[in-house]
Amino acid sequence: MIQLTINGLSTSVEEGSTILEAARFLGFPIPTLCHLDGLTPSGNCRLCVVEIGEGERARLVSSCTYRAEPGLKVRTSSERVVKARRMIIELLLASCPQSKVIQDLASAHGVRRQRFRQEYEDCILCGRCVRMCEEQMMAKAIGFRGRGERRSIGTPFDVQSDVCRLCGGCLYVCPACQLRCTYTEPEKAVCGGCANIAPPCIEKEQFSDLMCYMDPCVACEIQKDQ
Amino acid sequence: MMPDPEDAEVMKKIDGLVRRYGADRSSLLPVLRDIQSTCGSVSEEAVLSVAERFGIPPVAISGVVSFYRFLSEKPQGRFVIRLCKTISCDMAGKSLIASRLEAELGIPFGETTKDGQFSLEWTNCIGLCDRGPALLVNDRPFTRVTVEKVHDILEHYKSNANPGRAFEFDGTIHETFIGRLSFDRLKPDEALKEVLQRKKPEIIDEISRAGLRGRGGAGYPTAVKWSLTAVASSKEKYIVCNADEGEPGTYKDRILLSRYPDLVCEGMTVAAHALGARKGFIYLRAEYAHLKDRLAKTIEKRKRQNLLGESILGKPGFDFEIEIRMGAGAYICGEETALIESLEGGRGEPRNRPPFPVDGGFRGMPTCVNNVETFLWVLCIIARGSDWFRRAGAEKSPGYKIFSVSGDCERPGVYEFPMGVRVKDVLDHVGGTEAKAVQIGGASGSCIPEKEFDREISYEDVPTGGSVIVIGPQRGMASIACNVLEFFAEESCGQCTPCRIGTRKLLEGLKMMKSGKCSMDYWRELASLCDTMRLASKCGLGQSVPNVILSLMKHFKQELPELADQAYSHGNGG
Repeated sequence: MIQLTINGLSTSVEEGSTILEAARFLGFPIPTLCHLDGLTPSGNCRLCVVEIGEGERARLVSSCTYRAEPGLKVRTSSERVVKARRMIIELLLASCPQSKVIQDLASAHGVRRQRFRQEYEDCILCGRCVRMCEEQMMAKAIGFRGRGERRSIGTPFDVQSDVCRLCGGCLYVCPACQLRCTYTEPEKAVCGGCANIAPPCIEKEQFSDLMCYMDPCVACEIQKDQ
Repeated sequence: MMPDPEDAEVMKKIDGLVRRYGADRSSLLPVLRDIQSTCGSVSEEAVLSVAERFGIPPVAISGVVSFYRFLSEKPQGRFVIRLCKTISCDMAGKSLIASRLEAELGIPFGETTKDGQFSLEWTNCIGLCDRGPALLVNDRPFTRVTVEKVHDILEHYKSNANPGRAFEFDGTIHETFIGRLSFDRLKPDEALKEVLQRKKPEIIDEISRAGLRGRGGAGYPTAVKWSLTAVASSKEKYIVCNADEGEPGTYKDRILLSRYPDLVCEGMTVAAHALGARKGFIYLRAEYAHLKDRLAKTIEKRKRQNLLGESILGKPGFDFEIEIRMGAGAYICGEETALIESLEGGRGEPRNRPPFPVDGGFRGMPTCVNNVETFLWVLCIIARGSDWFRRAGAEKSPGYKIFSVSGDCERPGVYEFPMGVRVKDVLDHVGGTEAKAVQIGGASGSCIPEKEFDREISYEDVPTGGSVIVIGPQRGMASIACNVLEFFAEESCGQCTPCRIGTRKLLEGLKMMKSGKCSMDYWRELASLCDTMRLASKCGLGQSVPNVILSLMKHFKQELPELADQAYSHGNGG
């Protein structure tokens, strides 16, 4: 067992536990976005940062990847943490203002304004879908491409991958829904989630946990046209 | 279905490469680089067949190809012209060269001529900052390019069917204004022979007493890194020489690698002895491919002399080999965990730490990554003693440092100064007394205004990996900051939110500022964004992106246009 202190409260956790797990065990909430139980933590969205260390050596680390160390002193909501967290939410909101998940995060953390230009992108590149596809669906159909401002997620050469089984797992875990309905372009489809629930236009309420925000439903619109 | 004959050829080629490099994931980058240079692109067929041979999913290969600048999915011309657009070359007048190139070839940047001969690309710092504007044609560098020279260069490639033939516009590529460096006085292999006489911990103790800190810029104590690697119980350990010198304005490693290739190998061998490693890599950036032959020859020569290989210098059990691994055009791979990721054949994205490379680096084994220059200083310390090294420099930054100076000065070049040297003294030496500011530490460093020229260059005050860019009175600071941010927007790996979106927002804000559309409020918000980027970004690159904006805010307010009145806001909901 490893002894550490979180927000002044001493606790011991199993070796190999992350700060996030330890904090949750104690009931200290840490918001996460790219983290999902069952997937390898990537520490990319930086929303789960916490402060460790003292004085000049204090720094922010991502709690989902940082493992508990003996004697570690963690602050989950210090001023710096809260400030960074809000700024990160604001950046995400600027990039994907239409995402319900991000809107909820903003609301929960008191982000009341949006100072940056909104971009209405479809993706926050959290990589949940990539890890879902690789680690849980064992498909490795989608991945990251490019870098910097041109980083994106997709299949190689943007054509439907042979190994994609249209399981919809990527769509299911997506907080921003970049890979939402691709029914209109079946040759590029990586999801097919809605097509699996045939007919696609059955009462959507039944599937409220299916993250399809398409309104109107693309598949239904196509059927109407035919 | 019958395979396309062209496909069949690609397949054959790939099979040959796989036989040559092996089908281990870490051979992926060398294989892809070879495919790129012979086929002019890594096509869809190539991706699929490499995926099959290596047993990794196509999406991983395509992710790698799209990550690196020197690999391309779309076909490129026989000659790829890459013009440097980063600070020093920008200041040296790259724009004129760019328009001349476009006019001569009749294509804009990013495209290939119809006959498939030439591709025109922008690139970031190629380490020829003292000789800008500079460009690469495939691997060959051309420096101090003038508008007239552009025509000559192109004519040569158009008429000469054999591009390999010597073509010396710049026979002096490796020479620059250079003071006498400490390394010149080293006797070859003296230090190596010396360490074989000593106990291993003594070597690290000596370096610890000297107080040597990593010369790549971050300044981590070398002895600490070495002892952490030395105590690791693993049998397999690696030494990596970080020659991915991408920081704008830094080119000292180019000079060091071409002048002292033997010493670099010797330094790595000393490290191997002290740490118990049997394998070393020189990770050479793609832009320095012109240095590769010489390094490879040096390694071959040292093998013949029993300075590398098995039982080095007759000492049983002291085996060490060095392999050169080429980068493929990514600044971020200079970050040590990204470098290791790239060595393993992945996208060069920094890893989460811990584990640190000294615990779990290349293939999860303890790996010691040091800058080229650090290895050379180790030799000096062993040959001349830690006291000699300690005598120079500042309290917390002992010893000497190699600087690469470029920009608006009379004598750009490589210099050796003791750490703690004042900015003013550097400027006196290089003939840059007119300067109104100096960018120290490259794009990720800070900009020092004239009134602070008394400050010292050391880890206590203004740290640097060696880059000193002198900025003359005629330059606009906002334009330079813009250039730096554009650099980061392209070179960031894009993994983490603060760096990826933050850099874009800073650049946007700066452009608004330049056109007088930025409100005082918004400018202040950007300062708070800078704070978050410094604190919350995943790696050192993201954390240092805001430096340039912070310098601008702090020292060069007078240069910025009047801030618009508060009513103007870019966001909504205000």
